[in-house]
Amino acid sequence: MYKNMATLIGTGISTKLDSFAAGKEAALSAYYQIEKNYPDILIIFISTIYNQHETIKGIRSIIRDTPIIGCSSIGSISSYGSHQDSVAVFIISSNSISFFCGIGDKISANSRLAGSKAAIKAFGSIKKHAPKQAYMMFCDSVSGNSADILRGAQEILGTCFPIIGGGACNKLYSSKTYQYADNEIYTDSVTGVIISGAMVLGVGQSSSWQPIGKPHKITKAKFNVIKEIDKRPAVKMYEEYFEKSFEEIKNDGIFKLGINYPLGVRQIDKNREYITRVPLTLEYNGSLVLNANIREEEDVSLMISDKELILESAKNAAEKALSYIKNTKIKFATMFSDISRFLLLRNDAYKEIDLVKEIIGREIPILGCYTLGEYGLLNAAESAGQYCFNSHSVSITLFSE
Amino acid sequence: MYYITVFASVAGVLFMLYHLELTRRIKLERSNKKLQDIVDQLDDQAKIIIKTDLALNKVQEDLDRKIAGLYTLHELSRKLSSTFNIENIFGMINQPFVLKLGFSKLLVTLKDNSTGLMAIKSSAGYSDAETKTIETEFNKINFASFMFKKEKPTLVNRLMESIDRRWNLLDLLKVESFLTAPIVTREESIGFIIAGNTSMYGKISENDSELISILTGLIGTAIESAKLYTELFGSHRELERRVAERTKELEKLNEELKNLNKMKSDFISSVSHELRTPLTSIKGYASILMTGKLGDVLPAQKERLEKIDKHSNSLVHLINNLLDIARIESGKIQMEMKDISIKEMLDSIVDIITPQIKEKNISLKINSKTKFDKIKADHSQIERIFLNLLSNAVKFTPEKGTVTVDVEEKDDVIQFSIDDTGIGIPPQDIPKVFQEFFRADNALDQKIKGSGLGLSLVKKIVEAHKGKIWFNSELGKGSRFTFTLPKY
Repeated sequence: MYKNMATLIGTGISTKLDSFAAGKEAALSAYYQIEKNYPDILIIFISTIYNQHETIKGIRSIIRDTPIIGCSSIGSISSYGSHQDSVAVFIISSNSISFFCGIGDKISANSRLAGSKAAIKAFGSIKKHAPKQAYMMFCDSVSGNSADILRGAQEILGTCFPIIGGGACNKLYSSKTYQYADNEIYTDSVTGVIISGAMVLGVGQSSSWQPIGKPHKITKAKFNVIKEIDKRPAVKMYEEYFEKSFEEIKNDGIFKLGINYPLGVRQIDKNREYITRVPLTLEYNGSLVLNANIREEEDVSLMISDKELILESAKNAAEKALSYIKNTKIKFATMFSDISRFLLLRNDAYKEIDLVKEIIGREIPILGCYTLGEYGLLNAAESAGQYCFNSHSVSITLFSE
Repeated sequence: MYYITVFASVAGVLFMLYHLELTRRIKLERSNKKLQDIVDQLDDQAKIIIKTDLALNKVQEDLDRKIAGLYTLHELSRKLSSTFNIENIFGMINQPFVLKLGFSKLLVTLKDNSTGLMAIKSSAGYSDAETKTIETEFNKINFASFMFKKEKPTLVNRLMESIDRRWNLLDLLKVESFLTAPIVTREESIGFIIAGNTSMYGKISENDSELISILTGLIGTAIESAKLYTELFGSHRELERRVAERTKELEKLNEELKNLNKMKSDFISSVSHELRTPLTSIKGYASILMTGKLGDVLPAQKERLEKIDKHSNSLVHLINNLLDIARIESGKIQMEMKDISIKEMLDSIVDIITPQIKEKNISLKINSKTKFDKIKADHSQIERIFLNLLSNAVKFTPEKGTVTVDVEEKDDVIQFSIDDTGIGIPPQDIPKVFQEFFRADNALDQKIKGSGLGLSLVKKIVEAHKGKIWFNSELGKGSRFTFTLPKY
C-alpha cells in the first residue's frame, strides 16, 4: 500500500486464467490498498488474452461507479514489476487530484478529429480555473495515425501541455486493440483523462534504437505512408536488408520485422535520440503504412537496439523526469514502455522497471503498461517543450506535490 | 612577341590550373568512390548483423514461446488435478488459456457415444454459430475417422501438401495454420484437438507439436480420471442406496419383531395372570385340605396334597419369572436404583445360598479386588441375579467342588464373575444359553429341575441396569459367568 498525505494509490495485478476472476482479484487487491477509501479513478490495463467484457465485469463486481480509463496491452508495469498476460487495476484515491475523462471514436476515419473530440470532452468537464496538469491518453495504435491523434488533442490543449500515455496493443501485435472509458470497451478510438490538481510534473522520454546501415532518402511520402525510398518502392529497403521477397514479407507481416527493426527518421539531439516509426502494413504497391506521419526528403535508416541500450534509455528517461521536480515529494509515477522493448528484454523486462525505481525512489508507486508508441517529451530543449509521439521509447512522468 | 609570350604564359598557367583541377577532381571522385565503397561495405556488414540479430531473436522467441507454453500447461495440469468433473475440464480450456499457450483458436472435440457424432466441447476464438458450423462440417466429412488413425500431431498450413487440400480446413477454421492431435484414453481415441493461429505473426510450426501432445495427454488423462471417479462415485452411491434400503428393511423388520415380542410379552403376561388366579385357589384348597378341617387326611392323601402344594409353588415361581421377563421387556418394571454396598449385598446372598453349598460340601470363595464398595442398582433385582447365577453354579457343580465369586473394578463399571468347577456347557448350546426355556441336552441337566427362564431373566435384569453379561465355559471343567454393572 502506498500512502501519501491525501493521495492513496492501490495496485492490483492478477494473472488468473479466468477473465472475471482475474478482474475481480486485481480490483480487490487494489481496493484493499486504498484502505477502502473512495476511489477517484480506476486506471486499468488488460491483456488481450482475456475476455475484455468479462474482465471489466469482474472489476465492477468490486468497484461499481468509479470512472475507468485504460487500454488493452500485452502486459502491465507496476511497482511489483513487469507482468505479461495480466490484468492490472490501479486505483487513485485523492482529495487533491481530480480526473475528467473523454472519448473520441473512429480514428481510422479521422485521427485528428478523434484526438480533439476526446480532449474536448475531457477538458469540457473541468472547472474553468482548476489547475490542469496533464492529459493521459490511450489510442488504438493500429487503426489510425497516432501522431495525428496527438495533434488533434494539442489543438485543444496546446502543444506544450503535458500529454502522456500511448497506443493500446494486442498480444497478437497488429490485431484489434481496446480502449476503456467507464463501462464501455471501445476499439478504433482514443480515450483520455485530464489530471487536475496542485502538483508539479516531471516528464522524461527516451528511445534507444540506433541506425544501422547507410541512410536512405524518402523520395515519396504522404502523411503516414512512405511510397518510395531512394526512388524505389519503400518495401525494397526491408527486402534488401532481410533478404526476403515481397511475398515473404507480406506473408510474415511487415509489422513483425518493423517492431524490432523500425525506421529512424531524424536525430533530434546530440544524445542519439531518434524519431522512429513502425511500419504497420505493407500495401501491394510496396508502400509502407506507418504508425505516424513522416516527411518527404528526410533521410531514413533501419534501426536496431539491444538490452543494454534499452536499459540505458530507461535510466535517461527517469533522470530527465526527475530533473524537473527536484526537492519535491513524488506522489506517483506513470511509465509507458514500448512493446518492442518488452520483446527485446523478455525475461529481463523487470530490470527496466527496477532501474527506474532506483532513480525515482523504490517506494514510489508506478502505474503503466506496454504500449505501441508513446506520448511524451523527447527533448524539451530541441522541441521547445512540445510534446510528441514516438515509438520504441519509454515515457516516464512523475507527479509530485 | 611580347604579346605572344604573355599569351603563352597565361595559356600555360591556365593549362596547369586545369590540369591541377582535373587531378583534384579525379582524386575527389576516387576518394568519393572509395568512401561510397566503404559505406556500401558497411551497409553489407549491417545486413549480416541484421540477419544474425533476426536469427537470434527468432531462437529466443521460440524458446520463450515454448517456456511460456510449458508453464501454462503446468498450470492447467495443476488445476485439472483438482477436478473430477468433465464439464469443469472443458471450462478450463478457455480463451485466456489458449492465448497464453500461444494459439489464437482452439477446439476440443469429443465423440458422443450415444450418437456416434463428434461434438465440440470447448471452443476458444470462435462464436457459437462458427462452432456449430465447424461441428456440422466435421461430421459431414467424417474428420474423426481420419484423426483417429493418427498417433502424432499433424501440422497444416497453406504451404504444405496436406489434408487441407482435401477439405479446405484452413478456410473452415479461419486460421493460417493449425495443429491437430487425437485425444487418447486407454489406447482408444475419443476425440481430437485443433489449435490454430489467425495471425500471421504466430505461425504454428512443428515445434508446437510437443505442446499439443502434452495438452491432449492432459485432457485424455483428466477425462479418464473424471470418468473413473464418476463410475466410482456412482458405485458408491448405489452401495449407499442399497445399504440405506436394507437398513430401512431391517428397521421395519426390527419394528415388527419388537411388536411381536411385545405381543408375546403381553400374551405371557395375561396368560400368567389368568393362570395365577386358579393356581392360588388350588394352592389354597390344598392347604385347607391339609389342615384336616374338612375331614381327616390319610397319610397317602397328605403326601399327594404336599406334592400339589410343592408343584403349585414351582408353577407360581415359573409364572412370576415369566411375568418379570415380560415386564422388563415391556419396560413396565422400573428399576429402583439405590446406592448398594457390594460387601453387604454379597454377605446377604452368601447367607441365603449357604444351606445349598453345605449340602453339597462345595467351597465358596469371594475375591473382592475393589476399593469402590458402592453401586447404584435395584437391590432386589441384583439379589435375583446373584441367586440365579450362584444357584446354577451350585446345582451344576459336583460335590466338593468350588464356586468362586470375583469382584473387580474396571473403568466405570464393577465386574462380577461367578466361576464354578461344574460340568460346563456343551459348545453347541453356548449360543442358546440366554434363550427363554432353554435347557441343555445332557443327563445332569435333565435331572436338575429348572424352568429355563433363570438366565434369560438375569440377562434382562443386567441389561435393564445398562450392564453386560457373558460367559465362558469348557465342557467338564466348569463355567464362568461375568456381568458388569455401572458404578454410578
